[in-house]
Amino acid sequence: MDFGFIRESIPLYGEAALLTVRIGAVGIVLSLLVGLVCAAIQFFRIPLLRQLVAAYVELSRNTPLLVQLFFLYFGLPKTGVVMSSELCAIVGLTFLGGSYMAEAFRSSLEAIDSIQFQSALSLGMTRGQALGHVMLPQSLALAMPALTANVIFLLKETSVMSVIALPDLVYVAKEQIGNTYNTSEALVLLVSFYLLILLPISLGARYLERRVRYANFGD
Amino acid sequence: MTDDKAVLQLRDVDKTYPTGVHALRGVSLDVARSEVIAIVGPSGCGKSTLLRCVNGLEPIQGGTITFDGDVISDPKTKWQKVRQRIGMVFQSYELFGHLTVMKNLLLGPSVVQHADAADARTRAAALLERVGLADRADALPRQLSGGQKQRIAIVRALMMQPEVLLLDEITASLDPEMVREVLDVVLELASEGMTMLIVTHEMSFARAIADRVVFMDAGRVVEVAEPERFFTAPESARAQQFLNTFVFEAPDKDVAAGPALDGADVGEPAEG
Repeated sequence: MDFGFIRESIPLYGEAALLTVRIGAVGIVLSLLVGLVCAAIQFFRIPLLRQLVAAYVELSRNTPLLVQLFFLYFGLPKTGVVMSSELCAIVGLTFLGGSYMAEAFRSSLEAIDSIQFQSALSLGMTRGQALGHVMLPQSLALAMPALTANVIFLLKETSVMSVIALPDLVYVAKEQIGNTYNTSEALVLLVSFYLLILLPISLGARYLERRVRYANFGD
Repeated sequence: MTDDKAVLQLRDVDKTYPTGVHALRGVSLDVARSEVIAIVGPSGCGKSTLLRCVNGLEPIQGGTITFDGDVISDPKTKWQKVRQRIGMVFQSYELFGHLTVMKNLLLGPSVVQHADAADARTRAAALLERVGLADRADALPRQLSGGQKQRIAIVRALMMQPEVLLLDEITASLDPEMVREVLDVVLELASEGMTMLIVTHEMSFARAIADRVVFMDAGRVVEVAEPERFFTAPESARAQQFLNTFVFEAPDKDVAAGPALDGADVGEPAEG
């Protein structure tokens, strides 16, 4: 093991890790937004949009991210839509994550008795107010394990982004192996940096879940 | 609006659920201001559905419902406005589990009425005091007993300052010793002139509080009568039969008397 090589390479991996975190963070925030909008459409059973959401969820969940990225990066330019690899990565991650977040929100909303919604309406709230003030806050506690699992899942999925020439951790490791043949060192660095990103998030998520687990509402 | 005019009018109200259940079949009823109406009847007779239709939680398929001169049973009804004036309390309390008692009480006034926060808080504190729960303002719903929860649910409805209150079997989920504390609150509201529609299985309570008793069966109003009359001498055989289900007799007493349970030839009315 060439420790000098490892020490020299750390800044390179650090930069790639920052890119991974940045793409991941933006993609996850957008995924949450897409998921919320989709869940609201399904909750209110808005005709047409609801069918559209159902189709999107099936399409997104039943195709691999790798294939989705190929489509965005190599397919869309043929129709005149050209995106940078970074934008492609964010769009792809959001396309994938949105459906997973939507399902997490939808199933947790369904777990709250609809009479809670009616009791909010009976106070004179609009349906939107009843969703925002009564249903979502209570479902969030139930959704937390699924949401944090999605966050970790999506961060790990960024590891396929090198196929669209995004200089992420995997990309840097592959380059190093190709250029220097220091395979063991590159792989150790790769694993270490993923752990560096994901372990704190995993531990934080577990702490968060414990904090909200008291939430057995009702009786 | 004159006071003797009906504040709430139901005319030939018809309700069929999407499942095909025909819950209300031509129900008509006039409710005067400050009147207390107890709606009784066997399970599935449509009494809860009736309240839900008045609160717009269920659309109706026929007839009209009028509130304070306005038809509220058509698709254009501004339910957010109407529901502030017609409050509802549910059998299962339906407090918001993520909010403290005080926040449960303030949510409606702040979100719906944009009420002054300090003013709403003062009103909430006064109402909590009245129902004997002033010390529970910061408790979460799951820390309360059923009777406490239901008193909070009533207060939450009162926070919107409604003119009519719909109470849907509000003591049906309570242990017997908690029924009293909830019904005392309702009795006090009645004495202050609150207009109420009360669906209940508590016959002695209905008898004590109601100006009129509405007996429903199979989606129809079978009988409307003053409580004394209804509970001592109901007109319809169906009402007699229903009231007899609340009467128990010692098993060794007159076993041979025959089919007392089907009530067809039993004229003896229930004691309230």
